[in-house]
Amino acid sequence: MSALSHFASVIADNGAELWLRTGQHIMLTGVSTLAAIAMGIPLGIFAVRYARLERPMLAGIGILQTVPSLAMLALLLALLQQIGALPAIIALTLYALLPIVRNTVTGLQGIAPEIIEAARGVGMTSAQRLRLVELPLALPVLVAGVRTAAVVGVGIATLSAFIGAGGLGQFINRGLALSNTDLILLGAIPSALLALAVDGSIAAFQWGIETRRRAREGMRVYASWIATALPALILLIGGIAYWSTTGGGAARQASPGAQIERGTLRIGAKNFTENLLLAEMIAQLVETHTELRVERRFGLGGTMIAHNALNDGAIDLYVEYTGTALTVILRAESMQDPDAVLVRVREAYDARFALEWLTPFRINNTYALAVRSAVARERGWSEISDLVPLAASLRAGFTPEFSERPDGYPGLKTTYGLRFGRVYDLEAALMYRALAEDEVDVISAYATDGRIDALNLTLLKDDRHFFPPYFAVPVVRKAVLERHPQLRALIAPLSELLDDAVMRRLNWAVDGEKKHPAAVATAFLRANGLLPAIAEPALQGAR
Amino acid sequence: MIVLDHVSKTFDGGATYALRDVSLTINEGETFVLLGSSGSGKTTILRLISRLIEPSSGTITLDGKDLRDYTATALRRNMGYVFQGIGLFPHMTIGQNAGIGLRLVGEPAPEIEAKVRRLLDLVGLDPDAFIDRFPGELSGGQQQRVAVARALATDPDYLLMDEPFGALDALTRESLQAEVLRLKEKLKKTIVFVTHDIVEAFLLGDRIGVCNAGNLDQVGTRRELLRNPETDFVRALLARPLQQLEAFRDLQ
Repeated sequence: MSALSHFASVIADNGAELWLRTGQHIMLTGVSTLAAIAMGIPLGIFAVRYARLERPMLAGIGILQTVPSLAMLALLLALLQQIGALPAIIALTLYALLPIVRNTVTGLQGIAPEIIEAARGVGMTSAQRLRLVELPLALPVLVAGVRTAAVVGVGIATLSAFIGAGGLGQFINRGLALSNTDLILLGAIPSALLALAVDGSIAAFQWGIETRRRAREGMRVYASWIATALPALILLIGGIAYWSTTGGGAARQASPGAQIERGTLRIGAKNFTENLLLAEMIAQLVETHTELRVERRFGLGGTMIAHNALNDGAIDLYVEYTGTALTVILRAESMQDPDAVLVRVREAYDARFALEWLTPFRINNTYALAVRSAVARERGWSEISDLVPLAASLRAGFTPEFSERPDGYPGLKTTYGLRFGRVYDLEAALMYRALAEDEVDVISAYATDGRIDALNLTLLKDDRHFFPPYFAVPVVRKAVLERHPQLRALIAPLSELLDDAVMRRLNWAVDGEKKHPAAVATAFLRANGLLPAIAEPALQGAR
Repeated sequence: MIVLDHVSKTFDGGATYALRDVSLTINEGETFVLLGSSGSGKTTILRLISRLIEPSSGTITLDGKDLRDYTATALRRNMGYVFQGIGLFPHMTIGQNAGIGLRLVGEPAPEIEAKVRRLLDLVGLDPDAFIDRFPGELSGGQQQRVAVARALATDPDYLLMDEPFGALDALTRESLQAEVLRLKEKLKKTIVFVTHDIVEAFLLGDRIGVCNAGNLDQVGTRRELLRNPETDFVRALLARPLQQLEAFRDLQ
């Protein structure tokens, strides 16, 4: 099958969701760009009228621009205490502001002083001068600013998926999490096409305005009207795609300070295969065995984002790991005894967050250092200490989180005295591939990752017992458990069924065999009698 | 009638004066020419009259009323202003440019068009040929005719012209000067005309004020200036065209 027809079939399989995500993407970009226009043009006018404001204002907006997109999203998440469209739109608006304000200022300042003098001289008021002379003359520069803002916005909007705002980034996000190139392309290609379409439509808008100014009649007038309407047409298509698929539901999901809606359970998941699989299993159990409706808020872009979402009530449940909670959320020293860690986090969550840790799954997804098996055999590596003398000549590939976490590289350095010659920050899926392809020599693997067996990797023994236990445990809001106490008994059987080996196999089914997480979860639950054999799983997304 | 009473203007808090203690009366219906070189303060006087700038000291009255008692925009709408350089709005058609003053006071579009057509005709431009064109498509002389039409559109009592023909070639300038003379006879407006060209000043001005480095050296008819120059500057200024003429004759 050719690449093209293969991709066509991927699109066909995901048609409905592609329509929805495109709609969400257009709405996110459109609303934020319009908001930035509504704020940015007046700000630019102010900056020109009150020259003293210009430099501090542009400097301030410029600084906003330098905040990395993910950091901005995380920050807004913390400030607004909610995930979803609102923080994403605010972040996108802030990013769109600079090109619009700057071009407004540049456009207005570029008008010849004689023209301004003439406008005053013929008796225009300040407002008339702005409307009849300054804005029309600044329009080309101004529209160029809007174009930049909108095109950049389409790109940045792909990141909104990390905080549950949807959009085409959802495919990219999921594709990265599941090592599925088809899904990555399914997000990346439409968003690139969308960027081109947005750019073209705004260029057409400008041509339309200028043509209408000059042409009085004939085909050019009709063409100019159509051209002017193109950006609005894209917004309209986005709106239709969005509302026809959600009925505006996604907007409600993001309602401020969301309370538990009676009858709905919002399940979150971090953006990697195992977490998605566990969340999906819980979701299917709840859907099959209770009256509750499940909302999946999957693909959250990090521990703090997931934790804040849970703590603020934007989601009701997600699967966290004991060691992560201990060191990242509670900022405590890492401990080795699995039971002590569980007791410690359970008590602290109870006291500080009103969140409950259910029965742990028997999955210890601890960090481990992984190397290629062939190299390990050749050099006689079996434990982490073996690397210490050679470390300066080795290339390490770590996830950004591992590079920063106290129970990651920083702790490894103090415990083992390990200092690798070069350290690359790599996204998890790329990290495994980089090791297999000899781009790096050692990576921060997860102990339950299916790729370890599949790519012929060896985990080095943690001979100084540095890595704390990371048992996977569902964490739930207490308010939700009070209302739905049956959740405890519903989820408990999973603890009996799952262990490291099983989890590695399930992870590989997704990462290696490219099966859809929902299908893998359904097959597993059915095989173990937790779902009736005939039940239709809630299939969503890719094959 | 416009009266300047001990008017001074400084842009730098008194270190230098663009205009120093100028008193001047411009009478109803006359064409008053302010003559001087660049930096002499002649354009400053014009901008003060239209309140594009305010005097540092002294008062200006228009028809007996202090200028500051008029709204600046209302005042300017009653003073047609033809700017140094061009000053047409490049994004508006000739029709829109000429009719802008009428549009600002809310005149209905059909009446604006009718008036604009009459005005273009008056300044010697064929309305059908020009009304829908843009300033960029016109020659300098044609643009300046449009600027005059725009200044006349609201039928103002006063017409302020700031070196309107300075940038034009000699032939075009002559024909436009003739045009102004014709309009002056026909419309009977009070015109304040700024120029550095002595011949133009003598041709157009009923009276002439000679500006020199922020001072108004002398005011009078061309005959009074020629017969009785009051300062060395005025004498030297008026001698120059004759010197040039003699130099020209020597060449032949």
